[in-house]
Amino acid sequence: MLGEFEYLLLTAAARLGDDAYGAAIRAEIETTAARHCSIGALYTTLDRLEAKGLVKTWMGDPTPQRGGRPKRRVRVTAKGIEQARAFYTAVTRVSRGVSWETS
Amino acid sequence: MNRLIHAAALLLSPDERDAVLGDLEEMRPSAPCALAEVLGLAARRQAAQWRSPRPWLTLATLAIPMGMLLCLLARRTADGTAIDLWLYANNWVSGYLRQGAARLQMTDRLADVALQYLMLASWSWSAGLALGKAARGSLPLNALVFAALAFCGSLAGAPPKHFGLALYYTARAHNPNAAVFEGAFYRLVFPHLLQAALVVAPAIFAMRTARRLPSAHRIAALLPLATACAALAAMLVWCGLLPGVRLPARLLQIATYIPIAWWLVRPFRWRQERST
Repeated sequence: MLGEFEYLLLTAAARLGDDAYGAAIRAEIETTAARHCSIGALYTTLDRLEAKGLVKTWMGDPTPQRGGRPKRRVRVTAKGIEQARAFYTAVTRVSRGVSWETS
Repeated sequence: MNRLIHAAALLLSPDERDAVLGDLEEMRPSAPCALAEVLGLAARRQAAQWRSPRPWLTLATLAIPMGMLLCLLARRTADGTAIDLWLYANNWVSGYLRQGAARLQMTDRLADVALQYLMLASWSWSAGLALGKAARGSLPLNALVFAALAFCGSLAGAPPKHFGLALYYTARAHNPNAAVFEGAFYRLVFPHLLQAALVVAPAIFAMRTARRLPSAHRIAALLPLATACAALAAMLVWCGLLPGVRLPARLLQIATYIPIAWWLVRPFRWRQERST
């Protein structure tokens, strides 16, 4: 079972598709989930997900807007999609009939 | 500040360093935030390294004992050679150069001082190389502990006499030398200068060398490591820390100076490799 941050990262990477790389994933998480995402958390989680075979990462070409430095590109694997789907299903199921609205 | 961020990024692997610095260039956070981000990632990477027993073993068997031992040896060397340096620098008369016998004695003494410094630097280089090779990913923290002990280890005081004469500060404890150690320079500044220049600097240089050693060519990687191990073994015998092992002084000297020979030959080998 995935952890909460791992799920966030997988979802952000899947949403970004071919544009998924370190800074973009971080911006996506911070915008959509409205939570701070440090570079440390991002890259160590990416490593963990890659070790589990849920994402594949590689170094892209250097770009001028990054001071001639390459991006660490990310792609969600089939196993990653499967795990994210399982996590989503579990969260939706367990949340059914529960209201978090405060009265 | 930018330089500080780049220096902190050296703690990361080359690929990761590029990716992180590129991300920061794109996101443009404030300099303190960027520094905190880089240091945060480096700390997480170090923490991950220290989950295995290897870094702890390296710390216990190399970084701490070698740092401490080299600090004590540097203090002893500093005190011992301070007497010769004080004699010539603080009591200089032109007769030292004019009279043949005095000139010969001065040359002999200064050559002895130079050899002692060379020996200390060689031992430090060897310890740095062994540490760099053994510590691998945990090198930053292991190097920090080593450097801290090598520089400040003597604050705990000199080891007792029975611990081994080679580590005892004979020069400072000897009353007739009191004039040398009266001043703050030879008592405090000079030993720390020596510890920084002949222990910490060669060791850090060797750690950088160890990281660049080719792992694909076994002989190329093992040769410097073997020379370093021989020099360290010679150091332990020299200090009397390997009880029962008695070797001729000449053999110990040869073992000690092998790393220097290797270090001197290396640039020529590089040039040859580049030209082919």
